Amino acid sequence: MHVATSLQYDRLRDRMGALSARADTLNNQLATNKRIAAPSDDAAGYRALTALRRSGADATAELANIDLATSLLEASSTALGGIETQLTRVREIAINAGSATLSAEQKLALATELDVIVDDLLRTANTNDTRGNPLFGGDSTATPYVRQANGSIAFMGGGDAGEIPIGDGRTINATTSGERIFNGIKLTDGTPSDMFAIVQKMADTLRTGGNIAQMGTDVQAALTSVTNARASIGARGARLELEQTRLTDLGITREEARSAIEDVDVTATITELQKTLTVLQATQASFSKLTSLSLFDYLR
Amino acid sequence: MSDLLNIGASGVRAYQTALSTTSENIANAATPGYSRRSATIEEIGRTNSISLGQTIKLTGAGSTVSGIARAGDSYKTAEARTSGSDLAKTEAGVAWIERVENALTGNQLSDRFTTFFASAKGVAADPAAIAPRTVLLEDARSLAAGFASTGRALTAAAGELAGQGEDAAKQLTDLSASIVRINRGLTRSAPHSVANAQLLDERDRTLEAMSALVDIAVSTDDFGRATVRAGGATGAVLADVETSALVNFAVSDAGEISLSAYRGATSSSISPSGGVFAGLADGARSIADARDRLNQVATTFVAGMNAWQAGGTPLTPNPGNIPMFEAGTPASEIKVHDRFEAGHIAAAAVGEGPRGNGNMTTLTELRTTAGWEGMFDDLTTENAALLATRRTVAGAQGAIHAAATAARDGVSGVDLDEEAVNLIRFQQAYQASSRVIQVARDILQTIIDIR
Repeated sequence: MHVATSLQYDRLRDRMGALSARADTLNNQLATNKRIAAPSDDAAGYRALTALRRSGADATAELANIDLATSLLEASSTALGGIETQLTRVREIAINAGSATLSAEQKLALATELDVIVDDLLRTANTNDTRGNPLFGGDSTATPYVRQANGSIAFMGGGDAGEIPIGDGRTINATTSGERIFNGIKLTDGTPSDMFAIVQKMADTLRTGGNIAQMGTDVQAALTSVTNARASIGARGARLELEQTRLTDLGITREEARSAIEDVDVTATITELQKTLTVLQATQASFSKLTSLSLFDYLR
Repeated sequence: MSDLLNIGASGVRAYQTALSTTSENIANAATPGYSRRSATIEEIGRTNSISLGQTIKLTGAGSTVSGIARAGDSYKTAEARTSGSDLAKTEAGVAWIERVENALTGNQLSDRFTTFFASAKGVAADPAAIAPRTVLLEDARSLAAGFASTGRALTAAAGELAGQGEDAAKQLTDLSASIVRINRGLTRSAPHSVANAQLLDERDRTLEAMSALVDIAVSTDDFGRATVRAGGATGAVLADVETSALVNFAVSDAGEISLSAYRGATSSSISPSGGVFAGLADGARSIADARDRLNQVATTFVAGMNAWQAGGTPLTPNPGNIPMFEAGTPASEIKVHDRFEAGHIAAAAVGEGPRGNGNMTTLTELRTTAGWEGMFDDLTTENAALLATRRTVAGAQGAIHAAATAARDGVSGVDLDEEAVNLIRFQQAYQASSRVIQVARDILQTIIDIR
């Protein structure tokens, strides 16, 4: 067979070029630890990676939301705890003042204490959260409870605040509108009232020397409402913890999936690289051998 | 006795030519497109001048070089051309599809989408705060910039493609003109001359360069003059013995290329199925398709987002109801409205207070139903799959082309070992012929020396 000399060189050059390119690709994969440098390296894999990246970014945002919701729930729980303590004291006063042995001065002193408690309750109900907005204002950012000209305290907030998304369409109510906790408390006579009005009415009755014996039940009703709200917050906190664990677990699963698609099998790649380099070396050696053969060396 | 001298002298002359032909081969061993040549040595036939007293012809008259033979196989050459044309098409196409891939992924539009919608979740968590809204607004700007730069990268690619096409058209025009010059040279040159062999080499080289640009059909006459048609055996004539064509390239906005050949007053269009032009056609379609689909995503995104924005309640008053995104020309040139502020993002549904996030929930649904991210990812992955397939095809065609070139060069290439053998053979024959001259002289001297 007739073998053109230039063809011999060209073939070896192409072969060595291809081997060098292969070694370079493998080396790149090892250096970046990524098998997919461009979508065309593995279109289906790239598509899956995009979806994984997307749900990863969503999960990061949702975990931040969970942290925010947790802090809001904790703040609500603390504020409600303070209100619980105050209302417990009010209940004690109701029981104490119910006994007929109290003098008018003592009743007046108790009424003054109740006034102070109302002020405290108002301050606590208007607590701001970490974001600087009222905790119990519902979907409004206005101060929720405002003392009116006639001394009564009115709710100025709005409806429920938006529920915070915590992943896969799940949402959580991180705050509760004060209207649901402190307002709409049914009195013994069946009429609805609010926490502030109950305590204020007690103070007024004490000042005028009236009987507050049955008012303890109304205070208890307000206290129950607050305790229930706290319990609900505790339950929501537990749910958030579950969601957080779920998202973290999903993150690990996602990382495993990503690694399976994208990461380089280091052992296999190093072996492949070594093989390519060995073949390249052999080709170079045979190249120098082949090209050193020439009949012209024997021409004298 | 003068016959013997003549025979010797003819041998010396013939082998001198043979030696220089071999030297020429050695010198051009690495010249691309050079075809191996050999001197055709023939015996000189004697027709008259029989010596006195002889009745029949007893001796010949030596040898002569009747011509220079050029090694070559026109079928193998044609095959190498065809496979080269196929390979050039795929490789040119791959380069442009790769450009599309770089444009689609290099500007991280997909990631920007992801970030934008993830930030929307932050606004949903705390709709009354300005900080998460500012983040969302910045991400919206980044997303708009992503659309614009992806669109610009594709537009730039389309522009470069048109430029490359024009360059290739000029090149094809020049090559066609070369063919006509070579054809004229072939008309004048004597067959089996060195000049003729050089012209034929030049012809094959030029044809190969032309076939890398467009698939050509070549027919040659007895002189070896080529008539070249582009785009198949019935395609437009690029060059014949007399005239060559002026080739013109243009590409439309829709990504359709038009290639036409003007010869004198007639113009005919070429539909390339091979070579760089076919690759450019392929690439132009890919780029146009990517631009179309990107614009479509941009248009529906702007419309969808602005409708969503209009359907909610902003945190701070939005006089004139400024939309969030502004559409541009082309559609991918979108941007966030200059006067749109973070507080204008309509997180709350109608009727909700500042901490309501009803409209953000709608956005989550809109993200799923509109599927903008999916549309864009489809575009990226389809292009990537096409690229991967084409690369495989290019690999296979490269192997076919290498085999065809090897077959052609096997016939026409220079083998230095063979030339070395020839060198020794012709050198010895030359030396022997010169000995014949010496012997003739000695014999003549013998006769002269008789006294």
